[in-house]
Amino acid sequence: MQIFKKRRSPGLCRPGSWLTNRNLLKLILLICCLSLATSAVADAGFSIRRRHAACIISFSGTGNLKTYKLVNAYRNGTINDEETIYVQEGGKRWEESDRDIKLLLVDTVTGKATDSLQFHAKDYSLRIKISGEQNGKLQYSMDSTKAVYDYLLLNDDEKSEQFSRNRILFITCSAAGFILLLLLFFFRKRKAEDQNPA
Amino acid sequence: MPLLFQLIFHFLIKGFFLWPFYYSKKWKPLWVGFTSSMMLVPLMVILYHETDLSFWYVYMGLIVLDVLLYCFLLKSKWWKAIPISLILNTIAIIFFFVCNG
Repeated sequence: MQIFKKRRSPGLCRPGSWLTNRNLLKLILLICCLSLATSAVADAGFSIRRRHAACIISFSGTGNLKTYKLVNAYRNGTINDEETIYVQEGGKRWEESDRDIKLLLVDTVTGKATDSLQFHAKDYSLRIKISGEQNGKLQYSMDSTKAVYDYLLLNDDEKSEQFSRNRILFITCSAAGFILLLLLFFFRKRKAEDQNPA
Repeated sequence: MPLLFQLIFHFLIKGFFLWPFYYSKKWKPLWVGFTSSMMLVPLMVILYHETDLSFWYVYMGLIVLDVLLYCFLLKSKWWKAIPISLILNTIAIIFFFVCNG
């Protein structure tokens, strides 16, 4: 004689509802994964400053300043032809960068600054050609080119002159991946139709 | 980090890590991981460095796209595809930030 009837667990909801115990477990699993994933991502990198294109300031003709020298006012360094100032926004180099650059023309005999040049480096790379000095004033011309981000394909030593080619290769690679995905999708459809011709 | 290395590591995350979940599908998870990496990695790099788009949207978009891919190409059930997509995309986007930070 059966005294106790074996009863099925009713779950948390009314019978017939979609929220059965099994669906509830799936929902809990999803919520756990979602909370873990979002917290991990928020902790990992969404607060990182993005690295944009670097502005490179280069110099030529500093040898034309015979009794004078050009000095970076904020970094206290004499500027030579080999000197380049690298202004990088975002990323790991953010702490090293300073967008305002002030140059001083200093008389090497008296040690006094006779002229100054100040500019704000943003979006453009500058090439400053120094032709000399006249009455303590700096004679120069400045070329500016649009600063571009270095897209690297194979190694870290690639030059920034290949920007447009590398960018096109990035876009081509992305388009090729998209076409391959489409092919996979259509191949799947055709196979399904072959199996079920009706 | 150069594109080639980013592609390799992204493929390892989205292809090889996907493989155990869909082991019965043979090589297909690897193909799906490879093609989606090829499409998404260069696009994400360009979006990251040239636009101010919030990467929360990109992250959510990646999850939705991968769920669709797993459902349509690997014939996965949605409740299985969503956690797998969440886990793999979280690892992938953290790796992306480390490479492009």
